[in-house]
Amino acid sequence: MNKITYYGILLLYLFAGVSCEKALEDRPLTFVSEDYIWDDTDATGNYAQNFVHKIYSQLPTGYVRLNGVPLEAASDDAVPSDRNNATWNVINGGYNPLVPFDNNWGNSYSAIRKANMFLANYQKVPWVDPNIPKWLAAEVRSLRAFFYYELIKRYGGVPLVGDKVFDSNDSELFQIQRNSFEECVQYILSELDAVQDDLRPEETLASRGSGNGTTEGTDADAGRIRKSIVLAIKAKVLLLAASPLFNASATPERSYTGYAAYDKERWKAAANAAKVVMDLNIFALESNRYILNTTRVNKEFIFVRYGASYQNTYGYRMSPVGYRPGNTASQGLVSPTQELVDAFPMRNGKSIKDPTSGYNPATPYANRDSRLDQTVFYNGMTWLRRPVETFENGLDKPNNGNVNSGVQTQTGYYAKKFLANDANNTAYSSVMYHQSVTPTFCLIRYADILLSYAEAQNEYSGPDASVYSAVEAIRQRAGLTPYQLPSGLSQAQMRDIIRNERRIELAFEEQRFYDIRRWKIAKETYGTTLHGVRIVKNANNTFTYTPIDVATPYFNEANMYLLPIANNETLVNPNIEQNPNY
Amino acid sequence: MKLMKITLLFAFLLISCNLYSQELRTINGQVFDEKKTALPGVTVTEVGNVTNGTTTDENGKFRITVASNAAVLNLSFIGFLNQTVSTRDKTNITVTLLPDAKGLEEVVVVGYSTQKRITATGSVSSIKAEEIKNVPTASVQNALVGRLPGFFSQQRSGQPGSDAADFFIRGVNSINGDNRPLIIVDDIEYTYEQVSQMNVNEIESISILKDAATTAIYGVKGANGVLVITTNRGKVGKPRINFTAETGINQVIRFPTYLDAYSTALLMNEATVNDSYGLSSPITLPWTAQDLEMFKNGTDPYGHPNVNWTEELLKKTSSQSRYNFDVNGGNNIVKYFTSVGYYSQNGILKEFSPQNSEDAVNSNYFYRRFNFRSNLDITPTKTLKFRFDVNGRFETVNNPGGVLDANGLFKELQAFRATAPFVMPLTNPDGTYGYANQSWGNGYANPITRIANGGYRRTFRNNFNIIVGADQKLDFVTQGLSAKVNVSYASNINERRWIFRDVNLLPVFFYNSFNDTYSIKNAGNYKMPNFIQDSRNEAFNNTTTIQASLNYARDFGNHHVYALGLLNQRSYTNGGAVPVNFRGITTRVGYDFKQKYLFEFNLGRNGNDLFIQKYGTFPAVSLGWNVAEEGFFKERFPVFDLLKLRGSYGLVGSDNNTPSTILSEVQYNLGGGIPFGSGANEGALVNPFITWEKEKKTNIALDVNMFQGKFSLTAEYFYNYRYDQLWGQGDVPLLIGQDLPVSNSGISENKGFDGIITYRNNIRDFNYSISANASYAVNNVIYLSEAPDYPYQAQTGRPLGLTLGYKNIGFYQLEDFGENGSVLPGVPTPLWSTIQPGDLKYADMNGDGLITTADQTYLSKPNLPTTTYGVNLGLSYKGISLSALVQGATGYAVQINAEGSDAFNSNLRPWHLERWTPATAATATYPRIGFNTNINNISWQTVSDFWFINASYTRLKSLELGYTIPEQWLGKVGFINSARIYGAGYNLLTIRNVGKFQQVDPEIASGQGQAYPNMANFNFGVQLSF
Repeated sequence: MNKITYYGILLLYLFAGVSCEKALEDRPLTFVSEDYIWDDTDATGNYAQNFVHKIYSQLPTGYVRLNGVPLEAASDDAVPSDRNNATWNVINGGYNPLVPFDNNWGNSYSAIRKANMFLANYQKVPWVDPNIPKWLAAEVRSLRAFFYYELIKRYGGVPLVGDKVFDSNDSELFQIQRNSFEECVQYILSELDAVQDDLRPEETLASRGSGNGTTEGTDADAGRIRKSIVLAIKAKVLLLAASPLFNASATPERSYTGYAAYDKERWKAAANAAKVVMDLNIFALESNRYILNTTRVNKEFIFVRYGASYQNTYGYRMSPVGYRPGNTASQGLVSPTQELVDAFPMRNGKSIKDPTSGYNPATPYANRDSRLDQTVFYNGMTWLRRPVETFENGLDKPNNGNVNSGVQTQTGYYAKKFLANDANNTAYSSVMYHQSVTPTFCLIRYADILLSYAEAQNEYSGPDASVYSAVEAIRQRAGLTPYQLPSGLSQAQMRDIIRNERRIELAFEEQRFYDIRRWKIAKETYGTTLHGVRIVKNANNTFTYTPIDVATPYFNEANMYLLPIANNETLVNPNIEQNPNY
Repeated sequence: MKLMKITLLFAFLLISCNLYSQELRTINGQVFDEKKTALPGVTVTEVGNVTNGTTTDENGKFRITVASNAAVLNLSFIGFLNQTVSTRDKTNITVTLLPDAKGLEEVVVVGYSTQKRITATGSVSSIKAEEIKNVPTASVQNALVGRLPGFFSQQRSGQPGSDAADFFIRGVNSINGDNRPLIIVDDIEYTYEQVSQMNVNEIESISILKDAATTAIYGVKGANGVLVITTNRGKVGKPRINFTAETGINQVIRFPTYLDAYSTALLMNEATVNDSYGLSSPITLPWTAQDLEMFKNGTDPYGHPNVNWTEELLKKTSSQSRYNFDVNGGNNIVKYFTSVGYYSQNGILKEFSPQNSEDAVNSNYFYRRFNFRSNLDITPTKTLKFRFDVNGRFETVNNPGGVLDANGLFKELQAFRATAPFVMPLTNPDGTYGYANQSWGNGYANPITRIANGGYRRTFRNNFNIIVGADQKLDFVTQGLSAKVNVSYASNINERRWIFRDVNLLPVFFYNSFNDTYSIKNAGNYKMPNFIQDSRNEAFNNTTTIQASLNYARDFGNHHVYALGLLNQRSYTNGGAVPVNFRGITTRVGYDFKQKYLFEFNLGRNGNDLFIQKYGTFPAVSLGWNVAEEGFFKERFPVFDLLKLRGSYGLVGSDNNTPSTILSEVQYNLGGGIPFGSGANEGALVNPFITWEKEKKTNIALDVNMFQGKFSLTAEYFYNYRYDQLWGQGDVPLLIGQDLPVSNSGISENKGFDGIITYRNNIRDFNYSISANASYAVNNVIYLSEAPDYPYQAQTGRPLGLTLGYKNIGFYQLEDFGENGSVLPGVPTPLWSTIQPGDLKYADMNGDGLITTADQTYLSKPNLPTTTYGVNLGLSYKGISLSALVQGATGYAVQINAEGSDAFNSNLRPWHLERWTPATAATATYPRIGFNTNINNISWQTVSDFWFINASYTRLKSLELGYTIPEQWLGKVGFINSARIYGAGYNLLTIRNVGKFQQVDPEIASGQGQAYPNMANFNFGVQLSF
């Protein structure tokens, strides 16, 4: 008996000894390490390529990115229809370092970090095709430059981190300072220049779509950075640098807010850069502007963000609230302002303020620039086989809390930009995407380059023939007759025309918000009362149009031309100076 | 390995040296208590030769062989004073043991051993399970509420099978929120869930360990305190068979009340008027005067119904029953305790018949538990003891299947969009069911048809445990040494079976009472849809624990020395996660001189293989001075049985809040859905040096016993400083471009006191006792990595667990507005919406004239009390006994939001009547109501302290009245030894202060107030032993 029990104890101890063996799984076996991405056996570099895709995914996505509405809802072009939309905070001036707005700091530096990681590691992959690593490295450096452009357009000069990948306790991280605006521009340009010849071959103009208004082009690499895109980015950067906000800075003692002194040659550089893109002869204006809404490869798009945040719900989001195709209620999220509507000329090319234009306030939407129909829903316009009713108690302004939770137009208008031409359809077309094709947001298109050229050249040398021809190309495509501008315009007159042309041609494409800052006109155009229209349907089926005040946005010239840097960023590294007067 | 060799050596020594002899004398004896009842199980040892010992048998008899005529025997038995007896010239002795009235020999369970009250230097509160056995609740922790100083709890739900209270020891002190104590049952670690499923009938005693001296031996797991449970084991004696049967009812303590259809419709119209503020043309009112009239007089019960869905769906009471059967006994070789128990608790849903009678299933809430335990001790030799324990629990928890989401019935019953009084009639005139068809309704079918036809969602929980152990005395090596091994395997398997129908496809009809027509919700969908089955494993985990220890205890004259060395290893596999291994050694060394000067040192060195630095060292030292044992004190103050000062200081850890895996390098994420297909990117940066949280615990206490044990008091002060808490790095620039890992940087403190005071006495046969305990703990963030924009946004310096939000300063009043209806300049307004009179007004903390997120600050109080207390009263007279416990808590806040509080998100409740209107502007306690309310007044969108209520409560937590039937009456039924009948209640009376939310239970969790209501339970039971 005794022996047995002692052996029993021994066995228990043995058991204890045996089971002390360490389990081998000390980390998730599904773990993907850095070595797996930069795999020295992966001859096609699949994961390294995927790493680059992720950088592309941080490009701006556009459309309804701001509390469900476009960025323009915080400009003089529109307001959110919903009075409870948080964008009203911005309109009322509620942004500051504590409550930053359009904050792209973290996103840009995160993309820059990824770019630097790629550059540090991609050569570990045994690329079988030597072109791929060359192209990818050049794409990544171009993207990095573009993200710096996104930063300087908001904040002015920012810290340039070079090829550095920071560690969380890196002391430099807590000491780094903002570079001057000039240094940032120099860095972006030098990067773009350095890589422009190492990129994928260009597509021809012929392959960018048939031009008949429906067919998608055949570019298999659409969205990838090419030399033409690098040149276009360069034109945008130089235009920004030449603009009044930075050339010259109002606070020259702070080098990150712009150049110390005005230099006219900056306009020349900007004009030249745009001209280089025009001279490539691989882009053109699409004769039918609707094609821009339904294709991702066409003659006009230069740089697209390949893949946007949502697909075919845009029609429901934007259409007037009375529409319920497929029994899904529309949301009418955006109310364009009267100011935007008034910016569209008459079809004869004359401003509605011109007494000879033929504008009749009783039929305000008749005979207008066709781009108005492509940009704004107005009362009486045909949509899905019925007239839009934004008159009081009409289907699309019902004044009824039970329709769309009471959300309806604030201005008498809804935004239509990017929607297909569905006036006579019964439901919304699939817009901005084709079945099984990823949707896109266009970041730079040819019309933008033409207008950039016109703007810069006009500032440099006045309205010469090349300026006329660039602007007239836009007006011609828009269907204005006549599209020609009056000859003998002064530089200032031409400036106004170009600015107005940018506003209406590029409406809701994330241009206006920055343009009014770049030109330093936001105080007069945006920091003032914005209007809408109250429409009453009369017994004889005519309408009475009465202007109404919609909002008086708060705009402080002392600081708001540049956006605030989030407070935490300047708090944890006091060397990062906040923008002036925040 | 080393341990093994030592054991081998010991084994051989033992075999070779157990036979030597001298002139041997055999002593026969018998031991009685003062009532002349024989005492089985008394330990008898020879003084100076403790290897020579035995225990009394079931008749109190023992036989021992001693070597010398001078031999002295020591007799000891729990609850009695030790006694020594000389055997000089005697061969037969009779001993009477005296009860330990002073309670000094009372033993409390601490980690891996027991301690006497007189020599304990650590902080322990303890209770015998006998005292809480009849509390009519399913969960052990619910029965502990209010009984142990230092035990904080809140019962968050009354749902059968899910009603276990959250509990913490001495409050909370981790900024990361997991403050759950370690739970040790028979030396094996249990989970929170497992302990709530234990049957109290299996338990012998429960202790909570509160300071470093008692928790340091658990090292990395001790910082949150430890709950130690020991189960019943067999005692020497004839088989004692106990049978308990209880049955009772559960009653809802309080249902929320709702306004009727007429009042609701009136307010809905008022809300619509409010919503039209500033609109050029007002929104059409939802209800006409005619509608209102019909709601009022009920003439159109189908078109204008008035249904109280809570009353229609729920009943006020449900039933419960509990049966326990156990057998306990043994002799000097084998001792056994076996028990089986069954517990059943039903829910408060009414019975509804399904459309097809063959579909009838039990869809009500219910809980069934079957549990068993067999604890076996075998003593094959005088020095060796084996233990074989097997226990398990099998539970079923049922939920109705047809509710909108798995835990949603009580949310639905609050939700206006689902169950407004006029959302649909109870049934249509033809017996079919309607649906919430209004534009504001949620479109769902009548809850009755959903529940009647919706099947059930059932969870099966299975829990098995095996413990095998051996305990060998090693006195031949050195006196007082023993070695012990325990091996245990525990496993949890939870499976679910759901039988349900798609609630969207039930055939439901809108009945138009004006033209007497029916329209179906889904065209063509007249047929009841099929049942769908879903079964799935919900939890699988298993734990293997191995413990090997050496114990030493010995007296050298006036010096008492004891020591423990323990090796502990635990492997835990939870579902598909990476297995976690814990290993450590624990040592304890203690010394006392004449029980007067006490010293103990504990050291845990253990760790967890999650960490790179796997092992940590956790020392604790404690000292005690028994003043009452000093000669001068005894002479002057003889009324003191015990007066002890003690203190402890040490370091413990907590690995509760560590991530499930700690990576030494960055993990990359792969995924698609981005430009050009698939992506790969760097994950958040890692901190491979993450380590556990640590806490320095200080404890100072006073123990007093007076008047021959009639009065006792323990009062303790503690200060806990917790550091190395994992917290995100809020002070690194975003410029880094990547998410940051957590680091061991947070610091917080928790301090307070707790104590218990007891007085017990008797007047002849009338025994009474009264005991009061109180616990107070406040915590405070000392440091965490943050860069607050304003001082009022810093968490540092504030209690743990606060919510960030706006400070409410009343309502916008008419005088804040100009003639055109817009807010006057100078009155701070939020930018998120247009403000109108009667809206909630918030403090402009930074004085910029605007209410923005920069004005948010930390609000109110956490949801866990800072103070809890209990008063326990016990009376007995002959066979009658009465015990009562009053328990309360204060110093916390309850926040109710969304469906729980907001008008028209919630069904309307009495507090909505107290809304702001121009007429009631001065007295209103609720903002102006709105149907499309702007977010300013919505509790979950604009969090403010308006929705927080300083809460407190006092409850008659339990009450038990019992009667033991006199033995002479039992004489006729000879096989029954004793019989007792009793009635017991739980949560019987509540005095609450929950501010405007008086309808919610004061122990409710902050949130939507959707928990199954807490219940009062009443039981009637019979206890028989054979």
